[in-house]
Amino acid sequence: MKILEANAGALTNYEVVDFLRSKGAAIDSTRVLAQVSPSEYKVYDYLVQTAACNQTREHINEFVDKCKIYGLAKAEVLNIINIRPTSIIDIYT
Amino acid sequence: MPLSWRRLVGSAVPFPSHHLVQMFYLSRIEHTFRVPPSLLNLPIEEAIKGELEKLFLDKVIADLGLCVSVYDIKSIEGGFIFPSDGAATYTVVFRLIMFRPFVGEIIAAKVKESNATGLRLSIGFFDDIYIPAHLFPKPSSFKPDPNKKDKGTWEWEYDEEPYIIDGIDEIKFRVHNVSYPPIPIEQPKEAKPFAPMVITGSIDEDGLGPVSWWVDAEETKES
Repeated sequence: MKILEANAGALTNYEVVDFLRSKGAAIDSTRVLAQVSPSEYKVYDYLVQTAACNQTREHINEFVDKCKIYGLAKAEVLNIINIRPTSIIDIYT
Repeated sequence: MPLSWRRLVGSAVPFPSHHLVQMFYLSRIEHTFRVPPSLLNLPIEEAIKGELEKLFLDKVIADLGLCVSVYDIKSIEGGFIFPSDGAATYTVVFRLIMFRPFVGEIIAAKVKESNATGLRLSIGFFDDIYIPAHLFPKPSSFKPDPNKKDKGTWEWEYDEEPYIIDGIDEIKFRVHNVSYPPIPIEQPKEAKPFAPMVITGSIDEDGLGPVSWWVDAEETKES
């Protein structure tokens, strides 16, 4: 096994949820028919409880555009998308 | 009991802004492997994807993290059949989604175990997350459970009030270290099952620890 590129790109939690959903992951009982393995399901279940489950691609694009004014680093924007701070304390950490 | 902020000094966590830091990454890998003859009836990508999932899914690759999913296949080469083998051998370049939290990341997890050495947390698909006693806010003390020998609850004392970690809400922790211990040759019988990837976390800062500790901090700020 050869590692060609250890870091070929960072993914927001939303992108991982979207990818798993496109493979057929879901919360309801149709999940047994999908070709998603149990370990992938555990990741899906964890991410669904976080901020990522309610986001859409349009929301994220809009957010990134609006953030350009503030001159934040790309990493900071990505982390804000992932954590979705709802209070001052979340932004502080 | 509202908590006021102990350390309100200055800057947020310094992000290394010259490269991206996230919980999930893509890693591009090349691997050569056999596809068993029983899968010859399937279209080639499906057979290869199935084999890749069997080989990598839910496995830890040292320094890359835990493999969560096969993202896509970039190229397939080969297909040669070696002498006295019924299977074809392919060299495949593909991308995997890896779970690799960065040092300084904040993650919310549930309490799995609480004993004298510290806390053990879980996020469902990964549960080798440890918060050792020295990374708790000070002063904290451990109250052993009278019924169970090694288990108990941790309590933080601040401003004369005790704050308990009761395992009901989620704990926010900061990733302190991610290590990949080498595979041991032999293990004594009662040792814990080997953990190829261990995350050490800290809750020694404002905003970390059980979510309920900080819910009231918002209200004090406004009044």
